[in-house]
Amino acid sequence: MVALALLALYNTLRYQDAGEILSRAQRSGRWMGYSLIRFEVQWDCLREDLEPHALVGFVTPLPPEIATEYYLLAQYTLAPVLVENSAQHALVLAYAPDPGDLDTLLSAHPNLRVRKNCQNGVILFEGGN
Amino acid sequence: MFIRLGMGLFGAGLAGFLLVSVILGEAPGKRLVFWLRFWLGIGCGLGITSLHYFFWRLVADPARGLFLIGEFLLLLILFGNYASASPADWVFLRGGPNLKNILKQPSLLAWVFLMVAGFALLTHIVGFLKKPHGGWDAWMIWNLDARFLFRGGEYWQNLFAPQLIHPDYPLMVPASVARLWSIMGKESIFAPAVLGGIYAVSIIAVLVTAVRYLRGPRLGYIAGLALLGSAGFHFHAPTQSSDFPLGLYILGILVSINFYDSDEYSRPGFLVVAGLLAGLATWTKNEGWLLLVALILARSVQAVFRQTAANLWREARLFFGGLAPILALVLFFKLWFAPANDLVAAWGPATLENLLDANRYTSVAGEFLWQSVSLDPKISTPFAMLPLLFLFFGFRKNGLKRPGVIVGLLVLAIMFAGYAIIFITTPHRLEWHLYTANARLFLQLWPGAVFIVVLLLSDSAQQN
Repeated sequence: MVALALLALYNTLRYQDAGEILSRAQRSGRWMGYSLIRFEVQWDCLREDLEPHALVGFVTPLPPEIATEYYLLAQYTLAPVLVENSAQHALVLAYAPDPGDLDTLLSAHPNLRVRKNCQNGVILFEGGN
Repeated sequence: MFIRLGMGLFGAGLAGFLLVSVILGEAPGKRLVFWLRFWLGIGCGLGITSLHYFFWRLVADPARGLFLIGEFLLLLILFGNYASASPADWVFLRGGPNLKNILKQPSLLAWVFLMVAGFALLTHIVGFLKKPHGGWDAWMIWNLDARFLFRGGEYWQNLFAPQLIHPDYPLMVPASVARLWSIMGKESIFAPAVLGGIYAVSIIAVLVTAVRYLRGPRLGYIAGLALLGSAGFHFHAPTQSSDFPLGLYILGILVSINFYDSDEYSRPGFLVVAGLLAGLATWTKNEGWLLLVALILARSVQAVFRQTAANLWREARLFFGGLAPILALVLFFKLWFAPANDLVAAWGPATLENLLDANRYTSVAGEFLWQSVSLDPKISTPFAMLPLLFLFFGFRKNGLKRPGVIVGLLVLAIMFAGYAIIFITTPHRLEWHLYTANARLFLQLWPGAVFIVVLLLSDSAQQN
């Protein structure tokens, strides 16, 4: 019985590290994980440019192993707009967080033209199809 | 905002409690399993109101709140029936909680269980603070679909578009979240997070309450501690995974069948509740269909071998009485709206090749074995350790002669076999599929397995 109780207590406590939460709160004043919340705020500048029934493309110069995650996050953020992981659309969204990323994207997709640059890594292109 | 969230949750829980109470019917002179009805009712109510919300979504934008008229009418009808069905509840509720008894009763074991459960709650809150939008599946599938339902206006059906991941998945969790957002009047990360917490708490509470009624308080708390001994439970609970509501329904079904088969509490209504929960399982995840097959097979096999097949038709009518209304609505959703499932759509010659590939059997068996013994903090559901409880507490004499226990064991075995076949025939890369899904599938069965194993512990464990 004691072993069962100790196992339950140990497994209850071992996964979560409350210290991570406390140090973040001290550092930034935020208790909550902020990365996805911040990501969503970054896309606010495009919301008015996209019709709710739009089907748009998505590109990013990030490596493939994390590019898929950002594509899915963009879909989550912008629903009910449909986002497809492709540059073959009249409107194409881009997540380009680093300074040189825009040039990389334009050389990889020469048919794209910047329609709106939010200056925070989020860009709306046109002319992809 | 939080008041509206609380009202939305209270309304769903109340509807479920009243529905379960009405189905179980009158218990002359006694308050029939009040707390089991309470905790089972929460899961039931969330499922029913989710289905109701989805069908209102078909005819009107829920932003207008018209679906609340339907919920109010449902509550009125249920309340009218409940008032006559459960008169003993009124006596209990009028008297209020007996604090003297509550403070006197708990044993040391009860306090230990409550302490561990309290820490589990803190762990859940820390998990939410780390990932307020939940884990991958939550934001990539369930909360994304909730956004389509809530934000989508006339384009909400975009959630079935082939661009999305798993557009065929049923909508119990998304519609529950969207329903709460509609009641709150805005999107909030708290709604899916609180819902996830309620499912986890309900699993613990249904398990402990059911075992307390059937085997006494001591084994109830042992069951609770065994459940919380899975690190995977604590890891996945704050991720808002829909494997938790499915796990709750699987547990609720096994509990209902065992109450139906018990000497003290047997009532036909328990089979109706089991059918209702099985229907809600198909509305929660596609694995619910496998569960339905497993239940029908298990009860039929058990009845034939126990030579109680004559009862089978009567029991089937009760079970399908609860199942049919929900199943009809879910079938309508599946046939009219949901696109083909990726696993089913890929059936073909490659499926046969996979079935004949011995290496795939070895890989799946190895992963199942590893999952059963692993204490890895992110995946642990140590099924292989449950038999250790027999070493400490002994095996119940004639335990395996109890029909509800046999059905429970058969259901779990068929579910495991079904999961194995799904993995063996998967069109996806097997290692990837096992890595991303296996731990959560085991988690669905963990509460039900703990329940059945604790029912098999010796009678002496009730008193020691």
